[in-house]
Amino acid sequence: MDVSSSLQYLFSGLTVGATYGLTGLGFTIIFNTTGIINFAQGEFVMLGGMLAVICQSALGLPLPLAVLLAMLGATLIGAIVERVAIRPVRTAPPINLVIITIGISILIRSAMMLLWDKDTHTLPHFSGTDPITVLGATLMPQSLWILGITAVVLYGLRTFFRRSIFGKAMLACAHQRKAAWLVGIGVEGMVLLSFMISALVGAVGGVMLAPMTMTSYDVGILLGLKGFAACILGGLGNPFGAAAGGLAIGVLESFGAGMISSAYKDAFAFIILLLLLFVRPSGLFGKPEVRRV
Amino acid sequence: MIVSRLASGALLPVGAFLATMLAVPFLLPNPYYLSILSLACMNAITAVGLNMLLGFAGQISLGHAAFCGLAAYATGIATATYGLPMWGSFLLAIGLVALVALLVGMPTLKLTGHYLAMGTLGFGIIVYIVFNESIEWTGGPSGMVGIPRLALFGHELWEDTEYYHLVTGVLCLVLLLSLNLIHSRFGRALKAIHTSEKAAMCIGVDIARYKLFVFVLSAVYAGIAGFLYAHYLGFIAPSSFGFHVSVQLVVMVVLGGMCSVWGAVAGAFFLTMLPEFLRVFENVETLIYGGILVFCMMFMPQGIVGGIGTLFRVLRRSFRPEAVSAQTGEERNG
Amino acid sequence: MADSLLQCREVCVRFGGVQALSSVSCTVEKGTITSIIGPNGAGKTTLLNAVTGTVDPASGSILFAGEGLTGLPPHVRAGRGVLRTFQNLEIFTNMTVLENVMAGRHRMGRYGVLDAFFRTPRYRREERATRDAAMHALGFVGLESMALLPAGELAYGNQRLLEMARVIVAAPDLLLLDEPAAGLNMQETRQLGELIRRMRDELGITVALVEHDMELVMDVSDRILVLSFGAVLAEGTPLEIQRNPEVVAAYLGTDDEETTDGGA
Ligand SMILES: Nc1ncnc2c1ncn2[C@@H]1O[C@H](COP(=O)(O)OP(=O)(O)O)[C@@H](O)[C@H]1O
Ligand SMILES: [Mg+2]
Repeated sequence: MDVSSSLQYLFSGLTVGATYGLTGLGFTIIFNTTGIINFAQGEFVMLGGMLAVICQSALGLPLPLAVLLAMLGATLIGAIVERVAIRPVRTAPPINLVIITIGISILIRSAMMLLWDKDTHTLPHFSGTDPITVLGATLMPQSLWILGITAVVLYGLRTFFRRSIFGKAMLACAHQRKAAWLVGIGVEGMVLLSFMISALVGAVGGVMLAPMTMTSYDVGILLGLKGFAACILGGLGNPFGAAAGGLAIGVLESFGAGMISSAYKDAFAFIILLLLLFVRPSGLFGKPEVRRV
Repeated sequence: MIVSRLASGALLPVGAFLATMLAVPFLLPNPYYLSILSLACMNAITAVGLNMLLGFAGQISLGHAAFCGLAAYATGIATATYGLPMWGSFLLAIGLVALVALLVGMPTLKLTGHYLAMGTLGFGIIVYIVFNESIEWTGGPSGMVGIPRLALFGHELWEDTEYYHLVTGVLCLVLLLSLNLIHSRFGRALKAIHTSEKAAMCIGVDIARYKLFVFVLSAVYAGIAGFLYAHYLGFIAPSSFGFHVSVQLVVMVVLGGMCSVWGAVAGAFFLTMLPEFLRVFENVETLIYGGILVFCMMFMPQGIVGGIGTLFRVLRRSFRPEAVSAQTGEERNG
Repeated sequence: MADSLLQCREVCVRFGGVQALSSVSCTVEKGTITSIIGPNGAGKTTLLNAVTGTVDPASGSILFAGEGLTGLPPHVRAGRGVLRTFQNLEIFTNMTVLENVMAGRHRMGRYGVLDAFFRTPRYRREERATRDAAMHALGFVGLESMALLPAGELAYGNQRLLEMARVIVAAPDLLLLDEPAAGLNMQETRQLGELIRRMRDELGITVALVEHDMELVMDVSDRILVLSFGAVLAEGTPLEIQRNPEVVAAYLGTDDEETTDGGA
């Protein structure tokens, strides 16, 4: 295998992997404050892309404004989901909450289909489509946007968790919900915030990816699965593990598709994920559960 | 009271269920509903098994549709492509499912919680992709046709009523066996694993073995359902065994009520028939479907059977407060 | 020495940097009640865990009835008659009180899956015997009137008794009790002491008791082992322990107002 084609696989793998990573990040943020896996996370990604399409093509807004509105819209929907369907039943068993999020994902998906359509849409590239050539491999400017924005989001979240009082409080929620409550951190507010942040992060991923891969009302299903896989691969609860997991899955897929078989592309990532879990049952960077008797 | 319950076992409720199911066709306006009910029975067979895994042993699987699919494709290929006799194909399909479940279960069941969900989910997706891509065997995404109708003792069950009787009978058998198992030391061991693994192992339960056992058992149930499905429709496609089907099976179990074998039946019937009732709403049917799911889970956390149980208990308490204590104990056993 | 039902020889347990047990040696004689005391974090629960197999010692050996237990998984040890209760109750809340106790008899079960599927005579016979034994165990602790209640609905003190019934029914040779009196009031504690004594005298069960309630410990114990910071501080009869100046300094004099938390 020559350098240029492996570089090519790496570029496309990292590009897609970054969105998986952002989706996984969204899973992690909600998991940390609530302990549940939000199966509607993929729909936030879909909302980012689709809302931008709607704003841009139907309302005729300029692209930057459309992108901004899409992100705002997804964040708002994240907040609504939390207030209406999660908060009233916070104490329910996790499996019930998971099924509620499954119901919500069906709701969001079919609402989008009804309000808009079933077609696939595309969004203009953020800065043109002239490819850049690196050692014989081509790189779309949009890929650079994706990697750059992902890096910015990661850095922003890191700062948020380390510096701001809200971020620290959210980490406290994750480590010790009772303790967080005892020191007067409003857990309810944190849960709301976590839904908003992960909807926002998901929407960012969706908006960035739409120009590269097209989007439609049902892209959230597969992206959600990949995001879940990303955060499990990285180790549940570790936001940066999720991002790394997403990149790893993207790259694995891309190399698998290019070198072995594109038909089994989606299978490679999952086979390797399973094998890894058998060796490290808590993911790459997850701490093994301490079992206390 | 306890002794008489033991003697009669689960025969009485299952018998009553069977009688109801046999009476239903006379009340149906339209034979189309018979096929819906048959599909509901098949889903119920899978759901009862999944409930033993999820509701009793507390282990989630987001890949059970794959086991239905494995059996369906195995029997499809064996009968349609290689002309194997029905009984041989049955043994082959179920044997294959059991073997795969054993091999997959051994490493996967070491995972816990969300990691287990991911492991089983990944398994389901891999199998689904294999169904799609090994086109020379399975026909790929467009599916596989020409699977013969089920034949019993040389008689092909072409009548929908006949097939309905068959799947109802199999469901009742599965129910009977499952209820019997739940009311034994094995059922107690599974429930023990659910609440406290450390207490379970300290009373002598070999946790890994029991998890594997119930995983394989539930996969075999799924395989039976898949077998019946393939020979009922005569046509199978990967989309009937994908991720969303696996998720729907879990939803059936939880929505029906995890505390009881009957909950799985209720959930399977409810979720299989719901889309038919929603059909009148045309475009908005999935929207309503999602809404009902969220609504039910928010306001009936114990599921359908649990909800009915609570209702009964409240009613009883308001009439005869002294009988409550004895009653609540019994209900847990369902 | 030859009669010792349980012998721990230089057992060491480490959790990362924490040395929870450093070279603990002790014995429990058949037919006695041996108490293990020591401040919170001394390693008492860890010692029980090492005996039941829920933690692996880094070194040392544990002999039960003359045979090594090292490396055996917990369910095998339970099968051999080593049973325990838990510091933080581990009741099966998804079962009735009776089912909890019947589950406790798991290790004596002989019928197979097919017997259960088809309710063979063997299943019926054994199940009836299990139920009788469970009712008897419930009677022994005084809970038979609550047999059909969901276990989660019992009052705290009764849940402690239920856990006792769940192990009694399994006819243990060695029973390890981890702070069974935690959270009980004075009267309940006294009844518990009586119960433990009856278990030894009427059922012939050898008991290793981890407990903070000194009155209870001094009352029922034949021998006492004092742990401190993962090591054996003293060992002897209740009288000897009460007179041991080291023990008094390290433990008895200071805090016997322990709470049930501590998580371990
Ligand atoms: N599973 C575990 N992981 C890490 N440290 C543990 C674990 N279990 C116990 N410990 C530590 O070992 C020491 C002894 O604990 P433990 O045996 O529970 O004490 P005791 O029961 O006497 O109160 C404590 O320092 C405790 O923090
Ligand atoms: Mg302790």
